[in-house]
Amino acid sequence: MIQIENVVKTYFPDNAGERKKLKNGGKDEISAVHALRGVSLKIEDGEFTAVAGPSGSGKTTLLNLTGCLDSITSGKISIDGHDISVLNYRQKNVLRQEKIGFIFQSYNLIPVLTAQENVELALILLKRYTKEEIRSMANGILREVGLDGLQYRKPGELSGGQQQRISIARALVKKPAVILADEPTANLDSHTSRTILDLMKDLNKKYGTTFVFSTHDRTVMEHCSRVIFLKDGLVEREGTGI
Amino acid sequence: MIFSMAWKNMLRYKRRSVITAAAIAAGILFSIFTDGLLAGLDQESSVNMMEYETSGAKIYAGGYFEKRKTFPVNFLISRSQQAVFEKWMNRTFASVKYTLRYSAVCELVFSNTDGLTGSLNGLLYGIDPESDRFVFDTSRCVESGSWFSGTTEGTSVVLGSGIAHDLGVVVGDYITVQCKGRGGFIQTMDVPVTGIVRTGNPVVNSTAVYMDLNYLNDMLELGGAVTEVCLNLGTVAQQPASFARFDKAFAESAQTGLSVYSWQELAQDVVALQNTKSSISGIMIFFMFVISAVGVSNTILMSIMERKNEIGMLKALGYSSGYVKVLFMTEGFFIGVLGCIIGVFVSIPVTWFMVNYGIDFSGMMGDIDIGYRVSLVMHSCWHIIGFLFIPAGALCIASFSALIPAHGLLKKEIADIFRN
Repeated sequence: MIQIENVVKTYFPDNAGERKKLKNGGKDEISAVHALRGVSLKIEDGEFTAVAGPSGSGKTTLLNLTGCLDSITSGKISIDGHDISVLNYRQKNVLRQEKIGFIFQSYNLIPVLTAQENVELALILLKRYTKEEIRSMANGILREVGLDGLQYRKPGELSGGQQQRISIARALVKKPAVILADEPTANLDSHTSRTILDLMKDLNKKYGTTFVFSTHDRTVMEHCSRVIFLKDGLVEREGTGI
Repeated sequence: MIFSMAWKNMLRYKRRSVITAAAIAAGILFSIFTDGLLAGLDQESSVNMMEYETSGAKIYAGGYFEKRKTFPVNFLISRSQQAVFEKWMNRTFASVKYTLRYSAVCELVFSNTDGLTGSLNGLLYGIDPESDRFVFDTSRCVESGSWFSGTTEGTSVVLGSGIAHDLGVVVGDYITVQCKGRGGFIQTMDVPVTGIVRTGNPVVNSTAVYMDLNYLNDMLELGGAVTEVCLNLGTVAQQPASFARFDKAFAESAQTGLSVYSWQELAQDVVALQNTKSSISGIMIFFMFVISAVGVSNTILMSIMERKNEIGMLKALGYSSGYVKVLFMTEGFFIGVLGCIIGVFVSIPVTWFMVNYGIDFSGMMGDIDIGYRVSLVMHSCWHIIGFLFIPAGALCIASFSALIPAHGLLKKEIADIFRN
């Protein structure tokens, strides 16, 4: 379960400490961007949830904070009972290794590695498996996402949809508690998007993994059982799949 | 996985990696060339000092060393001191060859057949031809005429090639030699030039005037006294240990009024030059390393800029900053290895050429005295330490300079890495 309580995220520009004088009144104020202004929500295990909203509403920021990719300004986020706001650098690394999978809009695959090696990257760090087990698990998940026979291809030799499948396989292979997908269909055509979303939905049902998407794609929202709308850094409303 | 990924990443940017490796190779070649040339100058200079000028060590009478640069004639080793020394040598260091010399400043005057007269100052060496060849190599450097031999040496003079050239003297000409005798009187001697020597030591070539010691003994009323005893203490490599042994035994022998000095003490200016050279060599190699570091840093920086998302992804997967740094260090290391292989392979034939043929700077530098006792055809030597340490240093620099750009990126939050 993911529990988000009154989370605030404020970005300071590079000259963060510099106070700027306001024209009206001449009062000093720190120049800052308030990406999240106090978001609270709860996502149950196995949910297939979308966080939607216009650009700048705070979707990606919320996913980044949940995935320990960024630090919280104030508030609290718990994943499976672990309060991530109190974790140190190493503990966050371990949490990401074991509990969180990521899928990105631009796939972020390592181009010099094959599809299989890209998936293996997620398992090597766990140090739980032998080389043979890692290979077999990577091949197994690649088969499940429909890339059987393409495991020795490098990302550059595959289509956008196939690359996103590798990315899904990489996120899922370690059986994480939650997968955070930041606009996973933004670079795909509508047909491929639907296929990919169907695949993720199937995997969600099969493994019970929680999926959280950030999106403004209606196709994604249609596939989700729950949609949380953000606006100006706050939860505006919630609904079921559109 | 790190090695495989780093290797593949290096090959991914083939042209960039090869250009950086080529820059490192050029740096290594330049450093090895410079290091080998300076080491070669050192070695050749040391050999030329010992073989033609200072020998391995010299023994002087008390007070001479401090004033040796003026070549005084009032601090002489007497015949009785020589006898004690000879006895001690026969007993203690029978295998060490030595020779007696009388050194003094002289003036040479030459009038040619056209009536033109010229004069030059030189250094007169009264030598014992029989024992001198066991200590100095000068007798093997005759350019024209002959070295002292048989019974003809009495009134002849052998000149260094430089001084002979400056005076316009050839073998067979007569010159006038003026120098101080014992007590300071001036003696003038008209003697035929019977030989001209060209040694590897330009100072000797441009100043040396050799005459027979017995003849000078009579003419300068030396009474058998000499200014120095010159010792053969083996090769340049053997000399320090041989001298240490000799010096210790000589001090214990308590020979009154005599002191022994190594060639390094006698040629402090050359030794100082060699030490300065080491600093210059170090500075040049340091700059080479800086250039390599900038090259590798730049390559890795460009690589990092293009791979921010991959780096962010690795961190998102749970890979530590340390792991990613090691990955980039390994990439830098591989580029360094490539640079070292190319650099060393190119350096070997270049050094071989420099050892066997050298570069003739005489056209460029003429008669300029560079302080070293070497001819202007400069040779390198196989300086194995340079061949080992320069590539090793380049490898370390290549590896660690990759850290600089990596560190800047990795200290950011992962979200910032993606965002940037």
